[in-house]
Amino acid sequence: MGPAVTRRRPVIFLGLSLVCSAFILTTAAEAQPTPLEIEVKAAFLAKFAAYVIWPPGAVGAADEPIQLCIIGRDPFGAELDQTVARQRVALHPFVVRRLNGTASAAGCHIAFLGGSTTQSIAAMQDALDDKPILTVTDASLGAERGMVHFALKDGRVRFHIDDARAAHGNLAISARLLSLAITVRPRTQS
Amino acid sequence: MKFASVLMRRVFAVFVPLAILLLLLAGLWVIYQGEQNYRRAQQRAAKVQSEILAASVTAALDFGDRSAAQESANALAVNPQVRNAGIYDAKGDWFAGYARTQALPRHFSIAASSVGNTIRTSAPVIRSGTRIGTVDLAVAIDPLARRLTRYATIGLLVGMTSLALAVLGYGQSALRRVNLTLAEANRELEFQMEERVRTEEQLREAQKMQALGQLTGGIAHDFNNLLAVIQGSADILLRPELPEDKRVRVTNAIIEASTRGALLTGQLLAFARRQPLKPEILDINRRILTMLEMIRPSLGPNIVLGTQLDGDLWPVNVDPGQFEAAVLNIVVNARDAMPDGGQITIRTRNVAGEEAGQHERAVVVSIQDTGCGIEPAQIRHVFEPFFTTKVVGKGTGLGLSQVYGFAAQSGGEARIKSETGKGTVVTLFLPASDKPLPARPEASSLPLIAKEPAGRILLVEDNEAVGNLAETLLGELGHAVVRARSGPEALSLADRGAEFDIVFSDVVMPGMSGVELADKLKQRRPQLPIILTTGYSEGLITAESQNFPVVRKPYRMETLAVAVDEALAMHRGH
Repeated sequence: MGPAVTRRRPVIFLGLSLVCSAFILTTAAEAQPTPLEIEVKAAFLAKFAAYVIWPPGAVGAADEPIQLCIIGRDPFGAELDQTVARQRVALHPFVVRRLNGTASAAGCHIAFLGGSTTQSIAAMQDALDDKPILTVTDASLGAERGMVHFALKDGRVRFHIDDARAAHGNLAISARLLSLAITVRPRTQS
Repeated sequence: MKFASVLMRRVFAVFVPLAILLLLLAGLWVIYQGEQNYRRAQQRAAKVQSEILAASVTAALDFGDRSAAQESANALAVNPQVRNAGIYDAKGDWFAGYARTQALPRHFSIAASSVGNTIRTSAPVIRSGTRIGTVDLAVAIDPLARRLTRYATIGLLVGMTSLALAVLGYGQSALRRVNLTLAEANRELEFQMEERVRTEEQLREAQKMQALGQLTGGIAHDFNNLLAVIQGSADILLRPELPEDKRVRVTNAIIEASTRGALLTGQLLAFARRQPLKPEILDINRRILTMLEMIRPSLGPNIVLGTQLDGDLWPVNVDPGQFEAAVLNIVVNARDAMPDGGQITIRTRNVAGEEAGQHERAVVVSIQDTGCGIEPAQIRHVFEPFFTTKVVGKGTGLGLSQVYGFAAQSGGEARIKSETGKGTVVTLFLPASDKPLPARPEASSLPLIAKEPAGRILLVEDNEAVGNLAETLLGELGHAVVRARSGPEALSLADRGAEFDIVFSDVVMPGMSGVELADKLKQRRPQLPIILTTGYSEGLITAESQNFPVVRKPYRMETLAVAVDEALAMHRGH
């Protein structure tokens, strides 16, 4: 499957291992995210780690944690900590760090850019642009896109992927993940 | 050899079914192995496919993208062998899938396994070491019928070979049965042959005993008659003042009886085939005429003996003694066939061409009687030895068989024609000889006195009576006689320097035979003439082979006189 496949599936279903039951979400896209939607996104955040290859040295030894940073606004709260605590990628555990800005983002592997009053999402993105950090943004928080950009499609949580930006950060995103994206901005041929 | 073949048959009988069984087992094993390999290969292929599917749906399952998972599952549908492809989440609940035949179970069950023509495999969906779901794949393999056609070649091969072996085995067993039957038949045949041989042996033995009985009876009778004549005549001779003519008649009777006895023993020896024929060129007519004088007295007054002899008869080459015996035998039979008297006619003539049979020229001697004749049923047997129509003690049954044997041995033949009540004709065909008759020796009167001056003779004879007779005869001839009873005794006499000019010795004696004695004497005195005498044909042959002159027993005075004279003449260098 090519990297630029657009997903337009009408089926809406959540079959995640940590979700016990299924909910039909309303189509109020721009409304406040439902708690379930937030829960799904929290789960997705950790799962991305399995489909991303960091440059050598970016990830420590086997038992060293993968740092999941929430920079700026935090829509997940304690839910994220609980979800992540049970997850592992290879042998790496997860650690959640909450930061106010990108200044202290060193060591982060995945960064959810929530934006803040002092630093916009775009600014955050720019600050981390050439870092080996998978940046994640959310359509419900703004139109500015990171490498992965959550969006609702047909009432389900999906995502766009900017592979070009990932390439800029020296990250490789698995084709399997790319195949699930609503849209993919392919990395430029180099 | 027989054991080996039996062993071979046994081995074969066990081997054939065993070989067929092994062949079938091997065939089945090959098919089973092929089937197993096929199934394993299909299993592996299915496993690989399920693993590929598992890998391709990892992200879709991880991120709950059912449509992406479904797409991956549908991609397998291009392979018609894939019946079902189900994707289940970590808890085993159905997530997505593709089902060609029946609906997929809503919940994954590991218990479901490969059955029949379907291979089921499952593969875990793993994301970074964590199992997040399961892929369940059902792949159809070729139906059994189609799989089996792949093994048809092997089956056919095994079948054909088994058939061939079975046919071979059947053939072998059939052959074995036939062999057994054959062996049984062979045993039966051998038994019957042995039985037959035994029976024939017994029959021969019985015939021999019967023949021997007839022979001894006949001989005893004939000899008794002769002995009666000799004894009676001797008694008469003992009477004093016997007139000269009567003395001569009685003495002649003794001589005749002895002659007939000699003929009889000659027949016996001829029958025993121990008497060799001594053919001479003969004038048959002369022989017959000479015989008439001897025959006539024995025929009795009622029988007329006549002759019709061809004056220009060709000479023949036969044994004279045997010829005389044959004529005598025929005449005696003729006489016995005419107890009330009749006519006996002896005829001779020359025949040539076809009538002569196998020879160009032959002399025919026929003797005809006017007696009772022979039954047609018996005429075929009259030439057989021991066949006789006479009562026991009246004949030996050897007479006509001697006639037949003599004729055959002389190169001719004997024929008999008879008509019951009218008489019998016995005809001898003797081949004519091209040789001329020897010059007739001058008929000498009995040389009662030896021509040669008297000599000294060493007489060796173990039988006292014969020895006495010989001593008397030699003494009558004017010779001086020294007696010895055995070979060693004769040798010791010679060694002690006893004076004698010739030796006259019996051949058959206990201890040392006359031939041995002669050899030893020759070593001592090479110039000594030795005359041997014997009644045995074997002794005769031995003696003659050593070139000793032989006088056959019983001998007449003139025979003895001639032999002794010749020896003396030789000794004296005439």
